[in-house]
Amino acid sequence: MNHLRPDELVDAVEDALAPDRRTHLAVCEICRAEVSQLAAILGDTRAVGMPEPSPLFWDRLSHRVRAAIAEERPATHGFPQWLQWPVLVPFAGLALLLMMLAWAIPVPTVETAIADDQLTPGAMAAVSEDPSADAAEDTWVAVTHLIGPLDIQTVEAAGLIGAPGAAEQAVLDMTSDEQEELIRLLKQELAGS
Amino acid sequence: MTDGSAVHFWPGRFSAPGPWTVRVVDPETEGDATPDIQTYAGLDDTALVAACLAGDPGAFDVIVERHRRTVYQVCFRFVGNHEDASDLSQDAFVRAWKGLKSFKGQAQLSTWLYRIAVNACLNRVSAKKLATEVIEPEQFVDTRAEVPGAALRRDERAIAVRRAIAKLPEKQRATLILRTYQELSHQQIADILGSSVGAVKANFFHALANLKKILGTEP
Repeated sequence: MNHLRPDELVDAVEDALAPDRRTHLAVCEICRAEVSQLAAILGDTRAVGMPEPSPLFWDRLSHRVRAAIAEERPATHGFPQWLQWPVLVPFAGLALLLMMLAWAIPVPTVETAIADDQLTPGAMAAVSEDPSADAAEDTWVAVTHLIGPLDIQTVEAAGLIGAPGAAEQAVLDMTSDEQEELIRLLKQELAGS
Repeated sequence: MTDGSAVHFWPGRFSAPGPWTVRVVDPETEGDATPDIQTYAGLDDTALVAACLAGDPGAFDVIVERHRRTVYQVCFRFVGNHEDASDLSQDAFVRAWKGLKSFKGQAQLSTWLYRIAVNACLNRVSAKKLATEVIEPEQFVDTRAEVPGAALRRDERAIAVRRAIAKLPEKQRATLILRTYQELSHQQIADILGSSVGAVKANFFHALANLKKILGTEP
């Protein structure tokens, strides 16, 4: 004879036991005692009332909820509907990634952008004779040609390494007269070599 | 559901708009916008949720007004004191407002709110052991027609049961409260607690069995 399972005992207490199990309950003293005890405890539990709060409490609760939501609202609804964290975070991450890449990847120099044959003295002369050639480009070509054979250790040993891009920036900061003078000196140097 | 706001003897500022009526004005809530509540009062919960999502804050006021009593009752049964129950009720409604977009209407709004309230209670109960206030029985039970001895025995029993309920494991306590006091079906409780009907019945059985054990060992 199978006694009632816990869920069946609950059904029995709630008077919802399946008919076939009621047959068992009718003849099983142990199950009947268990159901009786559980029913008594349930009755005691149901008898425990709860105090009714002040009727004014309900409106105060609504007021508190309204105020709490009003405090939350500017944080989440101050921006346009689409401009929320789920959108902002990926964009911010992407922007950060791009900034890191821009910082980490060296700016392509003329040395890498121009093929070696373009840096031959003939090519340099052609560039220098071209009246339409951009002065700044000439400057870059010449500088690149000069520093091309130098390795990084040599430059570092000479104390010539500054912040990344500092040399380029220094050239860009020159006045046009200074740049022309630099070009002249570099050409003179190239002609001498 | 009414809240019985026609009150005459609670603290507040009284004004007399006419010779036959006395209106109680709560200084804390006076001036709250109420026209929206009238506008939305005729809508069902689904329409109210839609109105909330469309950006009408007044619709949520109506949701709060409709369900605040049941939410408060659940919270009170959990924590056993008015202050914490009040805070938890507020917390539950704010959570509901924040999560309204996730309410898909697959369950009743009341069931969803029960779930939020129960979770808020379980989180709070887990976070700190709340002191269960011993409620003065005279506060809520009319004992005038009873002999003093019987009333005293019943009051003592009620206090003992309340303390025993507070000692139950969380799931058992939640199941007992929702089944016994809120009279929800096993299926509704299963939906709220995210379990099966069988598990709810098992929890209910163990809750009663544990209460029997605790009450049997207490003096």
